[in-house]
Amino acid sequence: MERKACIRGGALSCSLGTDTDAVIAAVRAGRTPVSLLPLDLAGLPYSRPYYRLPFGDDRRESDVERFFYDVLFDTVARAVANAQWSGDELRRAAFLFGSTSIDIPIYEAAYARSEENGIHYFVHASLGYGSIARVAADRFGIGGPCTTFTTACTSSANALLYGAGLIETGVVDRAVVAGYDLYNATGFYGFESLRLMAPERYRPFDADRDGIIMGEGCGVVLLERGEPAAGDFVLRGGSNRVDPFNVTTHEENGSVIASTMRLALADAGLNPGAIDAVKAHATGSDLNDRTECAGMRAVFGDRLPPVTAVKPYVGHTVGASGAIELLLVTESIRRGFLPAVPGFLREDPELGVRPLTEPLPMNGGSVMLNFFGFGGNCTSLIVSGGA
Amino acid sequence: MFIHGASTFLTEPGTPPQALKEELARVSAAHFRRVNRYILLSLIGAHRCALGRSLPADTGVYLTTERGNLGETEAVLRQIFRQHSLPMPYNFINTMSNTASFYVAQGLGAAGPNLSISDRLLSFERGMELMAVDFQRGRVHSALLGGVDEANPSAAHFERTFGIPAESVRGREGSAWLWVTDEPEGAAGRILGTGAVRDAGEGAAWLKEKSVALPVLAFGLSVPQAERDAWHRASGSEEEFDYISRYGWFDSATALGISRFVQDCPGRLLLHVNRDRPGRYTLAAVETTGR
Repeated sequence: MERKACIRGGALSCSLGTDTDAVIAAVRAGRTPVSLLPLDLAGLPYSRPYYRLPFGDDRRESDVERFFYDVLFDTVARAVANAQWSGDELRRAAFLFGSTSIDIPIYEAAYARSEENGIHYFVHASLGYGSIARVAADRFGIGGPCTTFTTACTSSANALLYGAGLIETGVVDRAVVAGYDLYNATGFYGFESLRLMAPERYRPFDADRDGIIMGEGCGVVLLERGEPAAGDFVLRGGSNRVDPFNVTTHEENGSVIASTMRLALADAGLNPGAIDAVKAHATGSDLNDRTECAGMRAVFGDRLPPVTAVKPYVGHTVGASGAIELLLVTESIRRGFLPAVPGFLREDPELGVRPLTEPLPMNGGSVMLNFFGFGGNCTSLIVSGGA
Repeated sequence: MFIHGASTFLTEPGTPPQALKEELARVSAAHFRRVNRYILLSLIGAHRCALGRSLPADTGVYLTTERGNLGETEAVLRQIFRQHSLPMPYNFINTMSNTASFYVAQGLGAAGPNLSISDRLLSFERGMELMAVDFQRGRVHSALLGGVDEANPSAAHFERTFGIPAESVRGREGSAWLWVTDEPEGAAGRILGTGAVRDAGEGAAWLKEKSVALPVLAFGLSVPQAERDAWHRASGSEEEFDYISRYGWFDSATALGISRFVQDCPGRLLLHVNRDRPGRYTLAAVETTGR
């Protein structure tokens, strides 16, 4: 079966801004706009870094629900406007939404204001997993299948994989794929409870790496059946597997991670030598980086292509990372470079992987993008295109 | 996509966790630590579906849900916003619904694709659709597809969603699963597909492309009676499989209806009709083999 899910466009809302040209210019310049957030709700006397959306107004503070939808709708609207899809084309398109937190920012704000406890209150406040996607699809007149993916940090990567699948199998001709995670206390305090958050700097793959820094954002990718136009990327294959080793960690030898990458290569009809670059998941946690690098070494051996990672620019946007990171990488390549990994200083001999420390001139090729998450979820995507 | 197993586990709202653990122990020798109500429901249903069988190692797990880990999420919010503490790590991890699909995969050795997905009122249909993508793309040859939800304790929410009194259905919580492979030999049934249509006439035409048999109709709770009559007229079928009256209702009711049909109605064709809030219909068609 011929793969013809072309990436026709997209839009971003992330810590670097909302204008794609400006965002990619900031990536090229190595900007890492991190701020500190207190953990005062839990009575802790310290803060943790976080990548916030750069809006200098009080919309979030005055009405979280409105802010939540503003960010989502604005990002979808920009993506759809860029692609100039007609109302009829949207009506027949699929909407696929990937998120770890889904509507948690909305109902935890309501919960914080309320004095009620218990599941009864919670059911009133929570909208159900599929509701945010339905609201967005209805808003934009997107009338095809509407699916929410909740597979932790692979959520929107899986939405992309299956969006392409719906196109390839003829269910739809177009898909709007959104990844969205807004700041929420459940995630921020939850990751702190796991002692996974870095105290200061983001240094994935570095010998001195000490954890993840979370971020918030929205990425919307438009997929369409057809031939790629000049500069377009094609989502040519991918794979999703589960590592049953442990709910929070992957087997340290990276065997399932490696098999996910190999299956993605086979799905795309490529061998490892055809991959020009790898976008690593690179969370910056000690074990995750070790397992991921073990997987990469197993697949690529001593012919590892250039490795990039983009979380130091926007944070770990968890379920949104699939869409956001795909756009950061493909839009950078369209502008002539593969991003460097800021924060990386000292190679870890145990990892055996040295990511880019300077932007690499690149204007096309095939890129493997890897995403791994809780629940053993592993997703690899392969895109080709550019110049 | 051929159905080789179907299971349904239903229980009353508020069933003690210990009773669920005992039920799980009856169908699985594995020990699962720190699992919550939602995960227990998922495990019981999936293990019942696979009972006595050895699943291929690359079996995919497609878990569909309306609300996921409802109780666990409330517990985490209580810890942060009421008790002013960090959440307990395993409470936090279990807020993610794919922890349930993970434990199903771990317990049954099903290391293929692993998805946890949702769509308001149509979650199971979406799961069928994505599973079909993987079968057609050759990514899976064996899959477990389930619909799992805890009981919805809010009568007001129910009435707002469906526009009927909460006491008109028997609220349950449950876990309903299908084991599907690409092997026709020995199958209990076959999934003919899912589709979206605007009205009953279009729906009848959609079904005729898949089978000439007279269907048994089943309806999601969101399809009002007047519309059901139109579907009966358009399909020419007077038969209805009213699984909600017979077994009760939970948020993933389509999974219940289809899994029960496979178990209860050999040699028949099912057209399951569901409706989203804007009034569009989503169909699922399944035929069963005779015993």
